[in-house]
Amino acid sequence: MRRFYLCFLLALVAQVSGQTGQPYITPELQQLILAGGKNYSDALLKQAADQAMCSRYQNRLPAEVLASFIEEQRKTIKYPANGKLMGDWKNGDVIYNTIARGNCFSCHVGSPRNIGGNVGPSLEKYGQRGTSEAVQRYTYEVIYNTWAYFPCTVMYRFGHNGLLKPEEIADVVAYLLDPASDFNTKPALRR
Amino acid sequence: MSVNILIRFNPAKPKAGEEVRVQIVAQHPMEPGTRRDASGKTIPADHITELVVTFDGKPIAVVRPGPGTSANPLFAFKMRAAKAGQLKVNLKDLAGNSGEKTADLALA
Amino acid sequence: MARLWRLAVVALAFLVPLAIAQEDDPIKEAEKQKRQLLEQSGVLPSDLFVEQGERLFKAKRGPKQASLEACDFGRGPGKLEGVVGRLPRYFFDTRRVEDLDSRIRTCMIRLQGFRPEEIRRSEVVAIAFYLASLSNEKLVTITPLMPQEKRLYELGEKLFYLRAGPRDMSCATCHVTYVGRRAGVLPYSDLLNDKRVASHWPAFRYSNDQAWTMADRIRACYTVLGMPAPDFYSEPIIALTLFMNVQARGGKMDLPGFIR
Repeated sequence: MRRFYLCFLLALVAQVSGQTGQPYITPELQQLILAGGKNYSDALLKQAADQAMCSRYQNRLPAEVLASFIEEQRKTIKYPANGKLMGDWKNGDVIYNTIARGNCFSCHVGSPRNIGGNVGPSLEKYGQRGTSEAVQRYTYEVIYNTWAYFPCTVMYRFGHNGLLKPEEIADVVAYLLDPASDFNTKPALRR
Repeated sequence: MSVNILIRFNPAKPKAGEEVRVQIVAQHPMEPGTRRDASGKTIPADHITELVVTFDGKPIAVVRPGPGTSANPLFAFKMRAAKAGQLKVNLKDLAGNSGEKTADLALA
Repeated sequence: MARLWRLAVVALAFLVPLAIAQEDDPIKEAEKQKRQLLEQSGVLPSDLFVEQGERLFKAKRGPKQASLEACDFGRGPGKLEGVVGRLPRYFFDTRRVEDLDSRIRTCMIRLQGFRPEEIRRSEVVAIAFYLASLSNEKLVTITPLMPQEKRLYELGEKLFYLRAGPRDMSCATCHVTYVGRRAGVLPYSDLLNDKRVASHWPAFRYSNDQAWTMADRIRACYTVLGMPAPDFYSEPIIALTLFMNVQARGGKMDLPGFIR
């Protein structure tokens, strides 16, 4: 009888800890957020389940949820209609170096036009990786949805959250990988 | 409406005969009358027209700022701390507002 | 002779990083700017706001023609020294936890008879600067003891770590996970461990020539997070302020702040 209860308890605990449906925003927190005004609460209460997971686990997802989390993120990735993962590097240059668009330089060193930040790793000489299909795909996918590779990281999920279109992401991939791109022919600007 | 004025002496307590810097800040938007607001309308001029500094009743400085002087202007000048006394600042602006502030200069 | 050279090189190796580190600490850099400004002009911009706030505080204003001198900021009516280091706290008259900004607003409504829509933000900020000047060099002693304070602290912490919006960001993203990193001019400040950070509000920001309270700072952060900001004087602001100020407990306040 005791063994049954023990198994039942363990099953219950396993259920609760594995549940991705458990809300981060409790009713009490929801009430607090509503007190901040309509625009504020509308935005915050739209918190997605994956954002809630990262919030709950403070960005360190436990092993048992990691695999399914990454799979779900991968599923969201969409590619350009023409199938080309490398677009126009000159357009990618603008997106990379404009605050209102990609704003990549704010976190990454590597641009010859703007001093980079150090929130993310340096992308200096990124083109050295070559232009194989694997490298293009990796670069494209990280920009589209970085959580497919680095769960809960700070980099914006540009494609998934609609900040950049697939074609724009392909342009940024070209800016990084095209051997003729300024990114690879000119030295990175440093502090 | 009275205009806010701050007066500082540097050094705060000079020795007799020592040179002391007088720093006066007036809180005023100092609109030149040439700027435009977000809708394109010209913001009317509103700036200090005269600032008079007296020491124990005797005028020691008169400043006539124009539209080119920036907001919350700082007026600073040097004087010799011959004796302790009261510094008084009076100002008036285009709209007819005035400001007055006194500060006692003490010697070390 | 060779040993002396080696010693000099080693000494230099220690001193050079220190010199660079000095420059990189934004709080030390702000202190340097403050000293220079005081030397050149003798007056800090915050002095103007403090003076203006003192006038507003002591003048008889509003329909009830009363001053704010009878306002209770946590130490009882009329006791103002060090109050900024004890806010936000629970107040029995309003039955809610209030921060500096909302307490000023409460007293302007209750003591002076102003209607909520008549409360001008610039006046609240000036009065906050005045009260801040009376808390300069005092210690942050805030301790959530009332159940309402404890509850709001927990909610504030949850809100601090809540990731949402198109950028998947929370306050903690910059100020905890990526503390010390830089995505612009300033490195992200260590809100949880550096007691100077939360405790230097209200402050004058010389980067944009503006007088801000913690509420302004929180609202500006939400712009960076890509989300709409909470309303002034609202519960989320008070909750976040409560959470952050508790992290600064024990620190000596430098008020009004002077920061980039």
